[in-house]
Amino acid sequence: MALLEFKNVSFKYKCSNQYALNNVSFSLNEGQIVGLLGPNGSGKTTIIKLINGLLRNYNGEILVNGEELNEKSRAIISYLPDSTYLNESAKIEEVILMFKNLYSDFEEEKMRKMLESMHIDSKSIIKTLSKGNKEKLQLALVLSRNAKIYVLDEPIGGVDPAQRDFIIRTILSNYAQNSLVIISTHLLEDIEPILNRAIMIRNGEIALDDTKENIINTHENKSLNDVFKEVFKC
Amino acid sequence: MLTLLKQNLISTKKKFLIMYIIIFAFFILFPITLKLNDWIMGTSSVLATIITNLFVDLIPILLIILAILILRDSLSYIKDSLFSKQGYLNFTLPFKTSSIVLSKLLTALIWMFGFVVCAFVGSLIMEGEMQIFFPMNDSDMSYTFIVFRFITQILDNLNLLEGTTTLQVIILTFCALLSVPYLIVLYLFSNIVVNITKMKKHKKTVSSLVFVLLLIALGQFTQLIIAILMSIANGSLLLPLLVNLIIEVAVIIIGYQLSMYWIKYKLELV
Repeated sequence: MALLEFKNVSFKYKCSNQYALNNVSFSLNEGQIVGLLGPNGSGKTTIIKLINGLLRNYNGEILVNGEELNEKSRAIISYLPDSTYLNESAKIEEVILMFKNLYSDFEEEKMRKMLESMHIDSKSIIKTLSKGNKEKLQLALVLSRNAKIYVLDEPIGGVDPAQRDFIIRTILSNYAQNSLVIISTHLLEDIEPILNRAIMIRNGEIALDDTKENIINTHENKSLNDVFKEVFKC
Repeated sequence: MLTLLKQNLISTKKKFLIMYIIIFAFFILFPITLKLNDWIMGTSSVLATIITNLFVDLIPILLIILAILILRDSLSYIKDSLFSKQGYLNFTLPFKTSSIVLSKLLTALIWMFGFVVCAFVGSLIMEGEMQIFFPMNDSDMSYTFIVFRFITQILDNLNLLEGTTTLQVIILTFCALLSVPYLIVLYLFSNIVVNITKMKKHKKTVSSLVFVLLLIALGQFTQLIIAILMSIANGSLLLPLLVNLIIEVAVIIIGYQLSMYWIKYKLELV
């Protein structure tokens, strides 16, 4: 049984006449680090929001651990959105307490160690943090959960190259082993080394879905980044 | 559900508790200010009189402002936590969607009722202080205190409860208590209605407008029904009050169920 399965999923935003996703199907298992790749507006965030139940009026079937989306599926998914979802007037300590109270798989010790390595003071108020530190804080919260599925939407989108390396290292050293990690990005060059599977989305449809090894082998040993450029050539 | 509610109250307590403390401070300070004013009147200091009179005038105004602030903050808590970016966190919590939404509504409800309780307890304290500070006869009273007593007398004369039966009083109390969840449900309904439409911009303004229009429309509808029933019931209050209660309960149940259905099946957090 797949950990996450999309079966002919289509979705159209209410304010649009076009399908944001059209008949998308894929199946993902534990132990994979999957890149959800595509240019802006291709449908990556739509897929991520559907997985997390933030968009509900879709056609098709989305199964998490064999079940339709519900509170049980939410309990095993750790989600990092592409923008700050925390109450910015709260202190970091308050957010840690909230995660501890609401998620049974949250490891406070792990969180504190990550904050220390990020040089973020847990007594700070969130709105006083820089944009990069806010993103790091959210990443730390998400990775401090022993989840089965990590869904990371543009985790390196708004940070400089030096911080990108740090974030990638943090992801690699902190996600629960044997879990499924889905990383949505258009900055493939930085993330390519850690992926073992790629799903490329173009105009709401899957353009390519295979293991990194197969993609490289079938594309004359080109890197994923070069294949990406080829697939999304203007 | 209780875990969620507890967490919501913890994360919002700072803002509301400060406002409650201010309310208490006002009620406690009001009789003291009156007493001070009473004493200053005797000293004939013009500046001191102006300052204390200003303070006496400011207290009720500040109380009204605080009531409005609590109402605004409680309602915007629902919108911010469910329909803004914070919704990304709240709707991905490992709890049933209905529990998540209900916990937010209950949090707003508790803080609003908290204001009513604070105002009630505060007024009792104030009453006690008044009896301590002003035990004398009416003839000995200061000008300010006489004005204060005059205002309370007018409010007493306007008392709607006078001449009503116990049953009517109970129904009236229920109507008053239900007006808080009534407001909250209508606010949730206005926000989800805007969320499920094709609207791209100005969602905040439109949802506020929908909320106000719904309040006016439902208020007018209820008044019309009550007026008709009053003429049928020959001036008796019981039937109109009962119908008012039924309308409030119906709006709360239907509004909540419809909102929950749309949140469960049509929600679009963009």
